[in-house]
Amino acid sequence: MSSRIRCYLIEKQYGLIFNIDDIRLLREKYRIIGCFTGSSVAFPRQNNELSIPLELSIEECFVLLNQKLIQLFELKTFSPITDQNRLTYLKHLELDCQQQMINSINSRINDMLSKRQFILENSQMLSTIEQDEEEEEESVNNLLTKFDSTFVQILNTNNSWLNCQQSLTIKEKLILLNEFKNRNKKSSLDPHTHTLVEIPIESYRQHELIPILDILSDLSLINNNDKKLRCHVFQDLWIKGYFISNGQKFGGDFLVYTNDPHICHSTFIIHCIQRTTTANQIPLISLIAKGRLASNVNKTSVIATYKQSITIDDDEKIDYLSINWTGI
Amino acid sequence: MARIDLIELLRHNHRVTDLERLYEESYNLRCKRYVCIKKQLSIGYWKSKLNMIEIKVMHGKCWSLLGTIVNSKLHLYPEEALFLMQCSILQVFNEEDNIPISMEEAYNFWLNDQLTLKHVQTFSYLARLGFIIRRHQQQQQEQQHERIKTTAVGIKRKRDEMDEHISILNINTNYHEAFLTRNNDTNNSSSQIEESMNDEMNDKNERHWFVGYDYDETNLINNKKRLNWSIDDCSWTKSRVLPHWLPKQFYEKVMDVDIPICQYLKTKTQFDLLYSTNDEPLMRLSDCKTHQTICERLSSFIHSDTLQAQAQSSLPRTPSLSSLTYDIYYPNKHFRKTLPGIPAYRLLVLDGNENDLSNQLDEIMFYCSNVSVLVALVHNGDVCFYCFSSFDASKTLRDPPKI
Repeated sequence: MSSRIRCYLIEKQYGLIFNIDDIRLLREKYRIIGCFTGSSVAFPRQNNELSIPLELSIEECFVLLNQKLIQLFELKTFSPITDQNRLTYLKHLELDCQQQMINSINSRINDMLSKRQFILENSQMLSTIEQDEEEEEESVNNLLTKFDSTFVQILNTNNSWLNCQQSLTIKEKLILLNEFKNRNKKSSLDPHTHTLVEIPIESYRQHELIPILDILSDLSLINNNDKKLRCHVFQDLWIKGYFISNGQKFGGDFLVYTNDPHICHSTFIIHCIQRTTTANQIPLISLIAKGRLASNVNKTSVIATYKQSITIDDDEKIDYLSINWTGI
Repeated sequence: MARIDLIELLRHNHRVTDLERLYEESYNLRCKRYVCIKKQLSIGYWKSKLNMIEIKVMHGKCWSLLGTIVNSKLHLYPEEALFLMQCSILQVFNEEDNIPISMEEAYNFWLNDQLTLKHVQTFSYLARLGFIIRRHQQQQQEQQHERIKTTAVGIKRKRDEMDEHISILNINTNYHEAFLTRNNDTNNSSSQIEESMNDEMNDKNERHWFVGYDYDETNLINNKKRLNWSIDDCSWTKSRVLPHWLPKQFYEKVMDVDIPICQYLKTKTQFDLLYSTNDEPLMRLSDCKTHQTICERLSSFIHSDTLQAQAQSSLPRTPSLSSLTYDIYYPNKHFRKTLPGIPAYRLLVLDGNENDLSNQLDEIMFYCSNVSVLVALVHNGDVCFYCFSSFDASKTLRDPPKI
């Protein structure tokens, strides 16, 4: 992949992605689900459909880094904005403001033209105007000069107006232009207070980015065996083509789907357990609980652990063991 | 066989088209920008040293529920500011370069050891549903601020009533002489002393009893010395003594006051040492309300009830509050930040990746005595809530909870 997805590492545990196109790519192409944590723009007061940023777990960051699909960064120092970036920001503001104005005028023109039948029927001017064609054209041009040049420019580029011109008579054009003028007078909104201001998602400043090349070594997770095991189990399942999400709701480490979670329910609940030593024994009660819970929710409980290494190749290979409660 | 394959293929295609439509809907929902009309946008400035956001321009109705006063200006905590930014209500600028702070920067620079991503997620989750969430420490400070304000008003009123033409020195010397003569001449009764006091005093003005007293608390603490009871200098006997320098009306106003005061038995020199400073009474009228206020004023004595209460409490008074806690209130249009009342829940936020809850159990049990405790377990962005409340087995049997 030529340009990698930018991801920020927070608290040395979570990755955050702010770009919606990157998030879509990760989901559609690379089967990374993550978890949306921000409020939705359209519906900010609900928790069912959340929005950016997307939070990636450390296991997802591990897999994506190893596959060289993302670039993971840490930001530590807040750098003030440079002059060049400030100019970029101000230009962006100006362009945004102009675009809003253009869109606003276009929408008003389209709105009026959609109601032109009604306007023309109700207009009293039709009967009063009695002029030659040449005079009519002159009066149209005179009327256009009274408008703002920006408005005239936009009008001449508006597709609806250009399409209508063939079907409209000059009298009708006059009526519509007068109507534009009247409406502009009534709705004299100050563009400075009524422009839409954007709350930026991506930064204009260029902060010092500290790259993370390997999660396990850079964050000293090599000594944390539980996290290391979870990362390897996640990687193994991901390579096999499964969709994997958070398993907290069912008391497990991961939930595994055979297809996209939009379509189907999860099939397996994965529990990552270290190989038994005298210190790390798996109590039978917990096994019973896992089995019963999984059967009650129509899933299979699976224990994942490292394979007992016979050869060097077996290192970091994962063994799986499923538990089924038979109901007796 | 071919027909079954065709059906499967159609189903698969149908699922694929469904999936594409779902992806498209999801993308369209999330690709919108956070925008607000400039006229309705609130503006804040990030103070990096405080890690708070000072609000300069306010619009909307959310300000009665969010924010706290710091240096007589409204400030927001980072989690509150992030929530408002995502609701497209607030834009935050950096005070140094006057350029808005983006969501990326907010998440990277506003979070620290105390305020973690899970706190922000939990706060946003509950705030979206309409709950009122306040930081627990912040509540205590605001209530203290309110208390200080009301006491300051009370003190000022008392100062205004004070008579300025009190002859301080005359009354002081009277006290000193009276005490000396009492010691030397054992025949002098307390009534004679009181008479001499009454001659000089105006009974209507209670301030005469506490002559030379400065009601400004800070000056009192800094300038006035308390009597130092040096154990080495003299021998002690503990006997109950009725202080002669307290006025007659004192006993009528304060009932059942029992102050064990140790009495000097030795020589005049030590007695002089006792009265080497200005003879000013320790007690003020405002202190003579209960046993506890008197003991607090004297500050050398701990009331026995207080000692007993401390001994009885087996739980630690303040647990090690390493994590940030919140008070949750139900939505209420009459909510006041300065007097919020008892919260519906105390919220603790825990990391779902942690395997051990035993460290937090002490905290949970401490809070359970007053209010129900809500524990938010956050695991990779998923928030789950568990409610803890104190359980009395015998009481529950008598009054079982209604399901």
